[in-house]
Amino acid sequence: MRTLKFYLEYWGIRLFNLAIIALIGYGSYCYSVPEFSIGGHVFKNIFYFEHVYFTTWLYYLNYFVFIFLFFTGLIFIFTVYYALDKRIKERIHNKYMEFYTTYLLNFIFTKEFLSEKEKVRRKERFRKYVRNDYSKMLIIDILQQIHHQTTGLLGRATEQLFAELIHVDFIRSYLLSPYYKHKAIALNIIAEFKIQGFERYIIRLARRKSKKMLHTDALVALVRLDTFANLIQLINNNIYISLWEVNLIIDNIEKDNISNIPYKALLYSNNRGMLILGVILSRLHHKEEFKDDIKKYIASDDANVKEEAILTFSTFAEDHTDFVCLRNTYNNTTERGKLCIIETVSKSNDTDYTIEFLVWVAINEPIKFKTEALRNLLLIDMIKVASLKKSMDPLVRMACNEVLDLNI
Amino acid sequence: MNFEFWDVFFNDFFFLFSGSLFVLYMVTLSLSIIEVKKHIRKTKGFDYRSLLSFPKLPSVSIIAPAYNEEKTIVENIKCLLSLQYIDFEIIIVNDGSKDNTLATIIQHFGLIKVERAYELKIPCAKIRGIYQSNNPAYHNLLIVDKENGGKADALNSGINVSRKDLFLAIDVDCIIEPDAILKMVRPFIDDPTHKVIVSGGVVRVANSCEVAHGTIVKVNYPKNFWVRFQVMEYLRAFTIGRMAWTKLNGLLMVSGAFGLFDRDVVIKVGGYDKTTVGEDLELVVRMRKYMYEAGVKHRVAFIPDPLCWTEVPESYKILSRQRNRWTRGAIDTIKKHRSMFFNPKYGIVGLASFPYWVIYEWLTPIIELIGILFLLLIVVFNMYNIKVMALIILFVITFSLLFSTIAIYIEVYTYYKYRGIKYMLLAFLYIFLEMLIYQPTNFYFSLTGNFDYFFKRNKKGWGTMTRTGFAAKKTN
Repeated sequence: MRTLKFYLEYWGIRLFNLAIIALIGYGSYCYSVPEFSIGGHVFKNIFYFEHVYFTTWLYYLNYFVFIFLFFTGLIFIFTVYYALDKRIKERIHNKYMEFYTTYLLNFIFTKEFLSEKEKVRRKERFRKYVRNDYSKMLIIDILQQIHHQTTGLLGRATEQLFAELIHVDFIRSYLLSPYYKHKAIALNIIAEFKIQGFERYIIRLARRKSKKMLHTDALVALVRLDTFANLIQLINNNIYISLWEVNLIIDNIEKDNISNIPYKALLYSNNRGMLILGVILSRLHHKEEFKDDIKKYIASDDANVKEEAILTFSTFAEDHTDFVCLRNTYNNTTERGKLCIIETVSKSNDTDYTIEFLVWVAINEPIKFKTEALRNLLLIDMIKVASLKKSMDPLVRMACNEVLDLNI
Repeated sequence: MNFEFWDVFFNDFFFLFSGSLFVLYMVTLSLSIIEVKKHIRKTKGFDYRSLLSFPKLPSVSIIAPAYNEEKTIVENIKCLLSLQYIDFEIIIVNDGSKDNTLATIIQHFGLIKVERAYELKIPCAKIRGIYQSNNPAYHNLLIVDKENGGKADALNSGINVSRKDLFLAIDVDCIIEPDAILKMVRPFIDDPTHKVIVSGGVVRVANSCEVAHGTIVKVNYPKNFWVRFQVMEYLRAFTIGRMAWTKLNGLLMVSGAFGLFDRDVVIKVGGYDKTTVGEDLELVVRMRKYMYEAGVKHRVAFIPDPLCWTEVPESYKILSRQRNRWTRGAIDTIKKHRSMFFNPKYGIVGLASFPYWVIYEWLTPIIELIGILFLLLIVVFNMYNIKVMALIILFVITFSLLFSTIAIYIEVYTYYKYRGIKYMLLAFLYIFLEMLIYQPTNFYFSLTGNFDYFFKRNKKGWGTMTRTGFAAKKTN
């Protein structure tokens, strides 16, 4: 029923807009003739006499003046309406928030100590406050926030209260609503409270190119619903996943402590975004067993894949060959990759090799890398830094001065 | 050729010009509504603080040139220090201040002179010293003391000293929303198909606002006559104008008071141009030109959220100086990059944005002047039709009214910063006054700017911008 209401509202607005356009069109016709009839009644065009004074285009300019005035009035009314509506909503919001924060939080935190009778009484009281959509959304918002920040007993208590107060049909109606904002709200709720049964629809949203607006929300919801494996198979190469989405997915994985991540499948995904996700997750979760898989991507043509592969491989680098591999990619990577290589190669046990590399960076690379190399070199061979301080190159001298000034 | 020929010629010319302007405004309006709605949908309810735990974010240097700011500099730096971001440094460039700006900062933040290596990738005036604090709370604060060279030069020094991926160029006396960088950074990582080179944000008028601990705590509708006009003007320019150009990927103007730039690209194009007074516009045009020539798919992003609050001129005199400078800056940029005019090599910028700047930003006041002279002439020769004239004037007035009403509507519907029906009604009243007072005044400023640019070649400077300062108004 609610979904139908949303659709009626959605199409109602569009019909209203169409009606306005039709009205303007019909108005222009009525304006161009001396008389016109509506429903059998003949009306006289009181402006028609102006035809005498103006050419056709000037006559229509006059019509535009009416249209502009009409729209100005209409928009003015809408503006006042929205301003008042926002004020009213704000008041309701504050009133409800006060109630929710006082009683709802108290209920969740003291639930364990309340008698069954008291629990029922309080829940009945909450139900009275969640009669309309607006109040339901407010309570969902609070429960979502509590759930997001709590674990264990409190988290479960919030989930339970959510299930008791909000019927799943309410969420479904929002998910199936024609409005993006409703779908996005529903996706967040589904993801937060791990509501099952909507996966197929969410996958459709994630894959639909025309629904790009919901793409991120749908992807995050799928990940949080632990449907990672399906996701990888369904997200093909044509769907762009931005670094923003990669970050967001990782953030949610970390917050939800999702553990059943199919690293291998991610690392071999033909989707660039998924691949980056796999590489970063391998680093964050110290999955050293994928070291060789990641090593391959150091040679990737994609700068982002390459950079993340270097960063991840650096955390796993142990033996000399790893350091040599990193050293060899130094010239073909991003700034972040270069800084990471300098840091990692400095940890190599082969001191001569490290010193040679760091000195090379200090002499040949831009200032940002010079200082980083010298900072690391200072820990290995202070005399070398002192000798570089006498370099003919003023930039090398400057970098040495900075490092020595900061560290000695 | 007789007078009748010119009469027909000018009639047709003005008809075409006005018609194209009208169509342009209608298109701009529609596009901006689409883009603002899209942005609201995309970001509504998103907690930007979650970005703080993102593993892959670009690092940011905030570069703020300061010249004779001893009274407000400490508060301004505190405001910058309270910004929410993971990896950022603040670089205050003391541009040879004649007052105690540097000493005030050194004393308050316990700074010492340090050896900091930097490469002069962009030419700038001599750097006298770099200061940093021993206090870990201010570890990301860096003061560059240099010889006076102007705002562009100070920004170039900051770029040379900075080491981060992006830099945020700001006016030191602006008040930045705490989550501003988080919001501005998003386009840089949220576009898999284009390289984002600049990200701009909405600048709002801070006069009369209440400020506490470096943030705006209450937005008040300004009391000053001139400022009220500028509130409306800023609303229209940022909410409608820039959003529409963003939708078309043709944005050329990012406010000099607040813009996040890709440092590498800025260095590649040679940094800010010290020879122009419109260095903000000029830099973006040059960056876009460079990207087109390099064949890189790129974008200048714009965030419609109010992220930065600045003080605007409160007197006629200062306003005239500012507008004069803006006009001269725009003409200078247009002249320097005239090869882009209707040049398909530069895509939408060459075919739409740049011609828009030439025709509607630079030439409009001149065409308006010709129009007024023509009008006077036909009045003198008694060739006018009072009804036609009245109708055309009415058309322009009602359209301006609608345009500004929509800007207020968007503001109320989206961010609703100026709260209360009273303010809203006042804003509506000022739409009428604007047409009678502010628009003719601005037209005059643009004309004088043109005159100064072409006939007073020695007028190159910025002029003084006297600010009341937030410190005096702070509630806390």
